[in-house]
Amino acid sequence: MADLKPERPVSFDCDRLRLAGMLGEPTDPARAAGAVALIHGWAGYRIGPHRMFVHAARRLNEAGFHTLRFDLRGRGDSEGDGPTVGLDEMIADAVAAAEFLKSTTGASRIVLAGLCSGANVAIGAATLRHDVKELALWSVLPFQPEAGAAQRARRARHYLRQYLLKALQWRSWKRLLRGESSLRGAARAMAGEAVPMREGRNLKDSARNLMEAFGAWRGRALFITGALDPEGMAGREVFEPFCRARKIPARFQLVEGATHSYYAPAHEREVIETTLDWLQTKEP
Amino acid sequence: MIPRDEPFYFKSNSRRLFGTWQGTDGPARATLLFCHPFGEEKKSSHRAFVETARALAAESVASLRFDLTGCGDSEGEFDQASLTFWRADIAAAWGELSRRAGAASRALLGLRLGATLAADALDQLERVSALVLWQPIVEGKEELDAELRRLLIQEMMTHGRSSAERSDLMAAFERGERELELDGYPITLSLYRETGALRLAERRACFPQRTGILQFARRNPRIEAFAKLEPPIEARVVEMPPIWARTDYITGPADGRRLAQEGVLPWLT
Repeated sequence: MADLKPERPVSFDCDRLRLAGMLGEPTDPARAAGAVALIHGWAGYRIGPHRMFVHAARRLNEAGFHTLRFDLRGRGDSEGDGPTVGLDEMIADAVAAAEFLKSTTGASRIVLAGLCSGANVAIGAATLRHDVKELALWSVLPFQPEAGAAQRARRARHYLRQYLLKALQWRSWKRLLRGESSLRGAARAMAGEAVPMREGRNLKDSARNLMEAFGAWRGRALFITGALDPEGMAGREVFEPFCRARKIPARFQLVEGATHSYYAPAHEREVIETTLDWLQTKEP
Repeated sequence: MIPRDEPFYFKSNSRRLFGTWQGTDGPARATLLFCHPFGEEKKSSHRAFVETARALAAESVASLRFDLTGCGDSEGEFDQASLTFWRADIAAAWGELSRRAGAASRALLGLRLGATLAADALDQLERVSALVLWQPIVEGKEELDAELRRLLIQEMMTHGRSSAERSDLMAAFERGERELELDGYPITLSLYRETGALRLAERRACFPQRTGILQFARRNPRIEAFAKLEPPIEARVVEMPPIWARTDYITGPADGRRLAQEGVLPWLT
């Protein structure tokens, strides 16, 4: 096998902001299979949690794909004011990334892969580009209008169960007394993080109806969810029946024992290999 | 106008490291090397470094950010890394900074383990005009113990139980019977031992005259005690959340200006 070619730093513009990224090439150009843009989550940057995107890009390059890991505006090394950036601006960045990837590599097959909010961004961008026919969605969340009470209830149930189990153990009380854990943290975990707002607008929401747009999208999707991820499972509960109803070819894959960001190296590998396997087949 | 930053690769022995040079409009009056923290703390604090570097550029301070071996966009894997590699990486990055600095002074800044590593590498670096330690890890062993406690609490939160008591977990790790991962980063036994042996006080004799400490949100008793050792070091507090620990906190330009003004410039000028 040929040596892995190093990625090279690149930049491209969106809304007059310069976005930073790393472009990877297929190890063997004769096996060129397409191009994949990797989209990070809300507060991450192009390496992903525990460098998952670096590992994914290297594996995809070995398998014949061009890759682009890039920073959404206001994140990583990209320009922009991070705290003011919302979902629609992130979608615009992903659209620009897909265009950059296509024009730079000449690939006609453009795949968007995203983690957490990055998966939601991928969906939003795919609905604006007719050439994106494949989506790899890792730990996708329900969009804000669909999230609502069901997601909050699932999250609260999940954490309440964990805290009740902990409350039965003497060492939990010892930790609490030693100040190593706090009741405030428990309450916050059950309630979920506050929604980021700007001028009365929920930054995690879109001005478009993204579920409706996704329902009209024509392509295939891979959904991967950690079995121990309450938010990801809430996403799966929303998207699985939706894809069935709208006849979107989709594969739903569960990673047993995995949390939202696939922190165990074995879980990370499973996500990457499952995605690669899916990219190399024509099945949903 | 502040020039756009310049990403590039450079070598540390045979390893390719990723760096980003933030230049200034006109000659720089000072230059600064950023040393990032460990594991997911690096991901969380990356934007804070970027915003600080941009704010410093507006004050005619050029800077170099870089990724250690097995971290960020640099070559290698985390489980191949060691403190020996990372000290050599800091020295190589210092060489890059020096090459670009011209006549400007050269300072060193690190966050958390990056601060401790920067201090640890001082005897390999020439002409360090200032050392800025952001929330340094004073005792490596204490930090690892705290990380293990956090790991076990996380396990309990996720699975409803911990896989082992801390002492049992460590005994099995030392015997090579189980692996240790912190937030998805595999820790080798040698890296664990090297990190556990780090003691900031032992490097104190190498500190330049201009050394400062920045703490986040509140004063940390361990850091305060270290700062009061003779000769005392000025230790400030910035009212900001811990930028390395919050995965949902997004740093903006205003935070960068604040970090530059309160956490860097007082010790550069």
